[in-house]
Amino acid sequence: MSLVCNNCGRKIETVSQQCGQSVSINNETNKWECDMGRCGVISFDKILCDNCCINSSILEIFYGFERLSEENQELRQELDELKTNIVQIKLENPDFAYWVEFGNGKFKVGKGKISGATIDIKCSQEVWSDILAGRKVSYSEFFKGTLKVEGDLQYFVVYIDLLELISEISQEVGVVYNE
Amino acid sequence: MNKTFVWGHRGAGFRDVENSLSSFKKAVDMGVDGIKTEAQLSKDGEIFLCFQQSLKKNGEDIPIKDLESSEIRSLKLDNNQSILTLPELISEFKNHNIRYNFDIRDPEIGIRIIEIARKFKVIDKIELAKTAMDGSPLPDIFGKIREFDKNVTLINTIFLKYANNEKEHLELESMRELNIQGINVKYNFATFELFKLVKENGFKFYVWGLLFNRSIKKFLRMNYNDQPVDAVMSNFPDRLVKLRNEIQNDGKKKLTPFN
Repeated sequence: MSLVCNNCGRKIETVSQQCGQSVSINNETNKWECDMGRCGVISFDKILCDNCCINSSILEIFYGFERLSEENQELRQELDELKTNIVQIKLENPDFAYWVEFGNGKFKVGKGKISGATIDIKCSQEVWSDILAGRKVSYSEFFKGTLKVEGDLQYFVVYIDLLELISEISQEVGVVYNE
Repeated sequence: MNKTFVWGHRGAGFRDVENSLSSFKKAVDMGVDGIKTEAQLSKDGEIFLCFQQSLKKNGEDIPIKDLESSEIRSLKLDNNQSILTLPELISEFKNHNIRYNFDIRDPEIGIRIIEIARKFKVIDKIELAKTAMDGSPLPDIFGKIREFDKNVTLINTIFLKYANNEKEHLELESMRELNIQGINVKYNFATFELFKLVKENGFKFYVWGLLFNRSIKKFLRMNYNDQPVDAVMSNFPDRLVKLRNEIQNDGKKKLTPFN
């Protein structure tokens, strides 16, 4: 059987052991599926390679933040105080883009590119994953040149601080994520 | 216990157009103890208060140090106000007990600020700080300034690149040699352990970048040997003032960080 990534189209040479051990047929859809860890249980026709799986899980984290911003009063109040900013995040190796709009009470997330971004962040998938997981510090990566920022640096700092606040609140209310 | 000193960053930076006269006035009306902003030097030796090192003239980015005062004055901020000069700022608040803290990238800027402050007799109200974007060693930025003025207050802002391991980059020896009085740390990295270390070494401890209520409260409650964090900075200075009044309201008069 040949598996192809549903997102990037690359051939998947090997699947994770976790997937291999959990292959089963879904009686409702009549499709083979397995547990892909970060990506959850997915059918083979929607299967993702490891890289796309990581990107998908990064996006899931941000969708989680978006949901939290609608439910958590403290976060909503803080977002009310900030003016609107649109952050475009472009990951490389493999290429993946998403955006975050925050401020004026909102925290909205979307896949792909957006026009009118006030801040552009560009780095590798590995660096961004490490920053989100707390293994690397964004400012250090910025000065090392492994993370590039275009736009008002002050609002980049606010964005990073906001993510830290959201992560803190997430953990307090039990929405824990492990990258 | 002393009270924590409140600096309004770029005036009331996120409540108005940053570094505009209305933003500075708003911060003072909110009850800040001091104004913190960036200072740049024009070609003809005037100090302008703005964070950009270059300004757009006819669509082209030109370093401020290559622009004449008259050219800078002709450029407008988003609210159509002019970019303020240091003498204009000092004159505006001459009847207020306000301190001033300026981020500088070059010793020449610091020296010019001192000359102006001496002329206006406010040298005791001036602090000069290294910026968080500057990785150069302390003697490079403060050596000449300390030679020029033995007493002006100098603040070592920790380079952001070293934010997660500041302890190795405090340059305590240089701080002692140059009589640099305080250390300024981004709030995310300002741990109690670092605060304790800085206080035990006899320096003032400043925290910058505070925006959110929970972190403001954390630093207004932090104390070591009955000493609070010496100063906090924010683009939302109204939040700092309000929470300080709630948390540190022990009836004592407000103090400057160097009283």
